Amino acid sequence: MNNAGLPGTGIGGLFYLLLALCMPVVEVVRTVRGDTEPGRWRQVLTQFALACAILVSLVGTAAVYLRLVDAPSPFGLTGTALVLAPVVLAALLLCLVVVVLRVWARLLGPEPELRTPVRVG
Amino acid sequence: MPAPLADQLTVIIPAYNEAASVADTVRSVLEQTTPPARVIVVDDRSTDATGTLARAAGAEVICPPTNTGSKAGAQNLALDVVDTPYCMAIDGDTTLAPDAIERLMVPLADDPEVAAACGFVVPRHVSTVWERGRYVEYLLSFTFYKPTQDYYGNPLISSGCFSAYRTDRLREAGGWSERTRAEDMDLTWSFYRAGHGVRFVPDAVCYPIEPPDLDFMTKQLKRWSHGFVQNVGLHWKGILRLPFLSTVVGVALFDAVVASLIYLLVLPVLAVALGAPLLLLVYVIDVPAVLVPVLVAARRRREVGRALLSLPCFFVLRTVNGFFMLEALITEVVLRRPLLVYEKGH
Repeated sequence: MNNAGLPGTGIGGLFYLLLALCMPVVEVVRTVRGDTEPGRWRQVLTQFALACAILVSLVGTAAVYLRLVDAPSPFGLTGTALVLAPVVLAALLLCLVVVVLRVWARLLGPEPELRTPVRVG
Repeated sequence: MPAPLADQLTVIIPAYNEAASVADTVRSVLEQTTPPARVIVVDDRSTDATGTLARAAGAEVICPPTNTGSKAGAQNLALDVVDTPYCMAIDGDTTLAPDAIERLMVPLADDPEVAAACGFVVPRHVSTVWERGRYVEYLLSFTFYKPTQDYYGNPLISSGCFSAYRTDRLREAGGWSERTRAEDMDLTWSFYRAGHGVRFVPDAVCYPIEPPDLDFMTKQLKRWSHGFVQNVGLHWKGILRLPFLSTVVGVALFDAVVASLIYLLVLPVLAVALGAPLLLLVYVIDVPAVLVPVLVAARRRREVGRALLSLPCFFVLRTVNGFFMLEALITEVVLRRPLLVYEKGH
């Protein structure tokens, strides 16, 4: 779930986690460029702290799950490597989706005309 | 805080058979710290006393000659008579925190590029499984996902139940469109494509009545799922040029499809085929991750007990949601049978 009303597996959540973890760096860049806004650092630090806490909870959950469930050892992976493998794979898959979208956007022609909505009433 | 613009604001409340709630809605608008210039209730040919009660509560009431058939239709009717530079849409079953309008108008006052602003949504009643699931879903979404989207410049949706707009920008966009079943998503993405901004204001809080049972929840989830698929189909070429929005939509679509398949097919099949019932724990494996933002939001609202009690319902709602997303994808994309009827969720 990454928006109310839309289901999700956590891949979407991972995307927002990465975005929130990047916020301090992005904000430093914005500040250096002179793009400042009152209260934005507070927003950045709040989201960053949330993301860190979620990350810790995810690692903890995975560790507990691996102990609880007699997890198989695919490709000889065990322990931390087994926990990290799906996360890294999901992140790579996510990056692939984003890159494909960007390449697609570049290949497209000019913006199509936005159809005027039908008005009733 | 800059001078509020509420005296230049018209509030539009579309209502069809909202006799049980419309008076509360109107009163919560009129009792704001910065009351609007006008409050217009569109009584969309209700068969109950919606119009009478709205008028008694202090609103102007307009009534179309026949039912407009959708929320968008009713809102557009009122938009034609708006004469203020700003307008706001609020559902007929939604009440506002006393300072909600004052806070929501701030980004519109600060930045002329901002065409719309939306607030934090919290279900007014939290007692059934479905209301509790939605309560947790909103706390999670409006505490972690939406502020992150806002920071990067593109909240995915300016929620239809409580959003403020620049009237001229709204008219340029053609008002609320009826071409999809999610007119708020359509309008938000149209604003982005036209180069306008949309902001999320977490301190501006509204309280809608959420579907209390499966029957009403079914209607709402069906409308939202179909609306999302319809909007992706309508806007995908246009939003591909907007880097953050297209990424958010792409990830949301990918995740919604994968999630639906995993919850409804992969997990149960694997658990049975491998004889490993503990695999079903994957349904709730992200409980701690969900809990972090939910408890942060609940603590601010002093509702930690309610949030903890409601948490299991979120996972029920999420799985049911997966079913409707799959149904929408199959019906809209494969069978080419778009959902055309607007059925309100409650």
